[in-house]
Amino acid sequence: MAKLNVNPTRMELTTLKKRFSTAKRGHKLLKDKQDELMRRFIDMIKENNELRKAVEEELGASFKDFLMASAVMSTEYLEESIIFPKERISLDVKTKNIMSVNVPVMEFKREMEGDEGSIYPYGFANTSAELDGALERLYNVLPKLLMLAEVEKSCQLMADEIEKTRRRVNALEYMTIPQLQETIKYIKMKLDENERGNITRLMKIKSMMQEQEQNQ
Amino acid sequence: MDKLIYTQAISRLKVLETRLIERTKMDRMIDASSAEEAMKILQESEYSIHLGKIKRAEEYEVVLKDELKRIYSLMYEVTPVKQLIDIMSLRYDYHNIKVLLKAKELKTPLDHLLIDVGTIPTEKMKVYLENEDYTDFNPIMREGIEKTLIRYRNDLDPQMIDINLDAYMYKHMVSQADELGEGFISKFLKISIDLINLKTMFRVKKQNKEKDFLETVILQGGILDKDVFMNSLNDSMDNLAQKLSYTDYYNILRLSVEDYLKTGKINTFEKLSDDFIMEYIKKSKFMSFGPEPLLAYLTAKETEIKNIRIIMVGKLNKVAPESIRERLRETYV
Repeated sequence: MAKLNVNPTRMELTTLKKRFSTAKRGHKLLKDKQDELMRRFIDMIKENNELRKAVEEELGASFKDFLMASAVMSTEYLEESIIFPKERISLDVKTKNIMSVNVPVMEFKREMEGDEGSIYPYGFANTSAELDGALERLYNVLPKLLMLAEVEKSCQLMADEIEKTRRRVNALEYMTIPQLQETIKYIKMKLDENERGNITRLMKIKSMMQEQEQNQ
Repeated sequence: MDKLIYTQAISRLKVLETRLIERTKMDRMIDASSAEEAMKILQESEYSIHLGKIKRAEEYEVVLKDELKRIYSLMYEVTPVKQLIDIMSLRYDYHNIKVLLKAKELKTPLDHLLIDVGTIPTEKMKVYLENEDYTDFNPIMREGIEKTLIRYRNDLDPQMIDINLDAYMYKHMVSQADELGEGFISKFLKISIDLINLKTMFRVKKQNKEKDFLETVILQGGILDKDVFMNSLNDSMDNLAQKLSYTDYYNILRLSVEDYLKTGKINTFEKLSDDFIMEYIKKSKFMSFGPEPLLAYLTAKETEIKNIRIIMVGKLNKVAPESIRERLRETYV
């Protein structure tokens, strides 16, 4: 493993040691975060799956009704009937923080809350009752559809976050920490080597000085 | 009016009647292996002249639209009394008015939704409505448009456009029929209005709307009085058929209610009411004088177009043959 390109000084060693302990603590924290994110993510995916199934089923049924409506009404009549929607829905998007991920929270308000019979924007004389069925189903599936959007977006955001965290954890685990360890080891060895050289030099000088003393 | 003036038109139509698509051919279309195969069967009918225009079965709407146009221009050609056909084509005028009014309010062009079959050509209609110049319109139509706009601007409810114009449309049709003084046609309209009202009542019931709303959507001019519907709104479905057992509609009501209780859907009633009208129309099959056969042919043709649409939509979306057959309307021949 490659060591960092630093001067083997004592001061450098202290900084590196500090960095090493920070990296270790960071690694542990990130690892915990990743685990927790993963746990929540799995829960959410399960919820997402169920919702998606339910929504798809209901939408399918609605489209089936719609198909039948289009069979008994001509395209022009059908389109004329529904081109001008009656209901207005306002959507309020806020964010919620899950493990430092900002996920959306959608809240929608129907202007005709409690008056479900009024959603039909057309007259009765030229339209088929099958259209009512299709519209009613669509109306009922809307809250779930919105929930699905919310959960699916959250899943995406969390997946991104998990990936980012994993990359950080891995970088710390396989790059930063080994590098630091290596460099610390290298500096220590270098310093020890210097120390030993110093001692040898001192010993040599001592013996030289002793020799000189004897010769006098 | 002199019933003899229709003789020439009738003899011509009697020939054309033989070219209507009969039930067996419809059955063959339903049992065809694909939508393309079903289209091929149309080749053997009057529709063949339009088939050259399209390349794929998905474009069947073009064929149906062209045929509708052709039929109306044919009818205007053969009829000695224009007003007679006007009664039927008014429906398209009002449709066009609805489209244009909605286009105006939405500020988007909706020209593709116009059907150029009405008594007023769509181009003219567009100019008239744009300039709010209704002088050329029939007084009832003019009143209809003006009242509709007032109501719409009051509460900005697009449903009101449809409801109001529907009401005026039937008023207009009835007044035209009254002017014509033909009992057969007036009764035809009355039956249509009754059946629409019954259907409306079912739908309003299903939508859980209150009486006031029903009052605005019930059409005037049928055989059954408005009060009949108003009083029946809160009845249970079973009682409804019993309550109306004195009317001609008892049979179809009974069958529809049975089906409704099973499936929760009103489509049986829609089918049966179309069939009921067809039965009524069929009475004119052996008439050689009077306007009845003209009306009959037009209705027969419109039903035929509806049936082809049901089959084509079913075929293109791989709906089971029984399901298509269930919805198919009674044919004239």
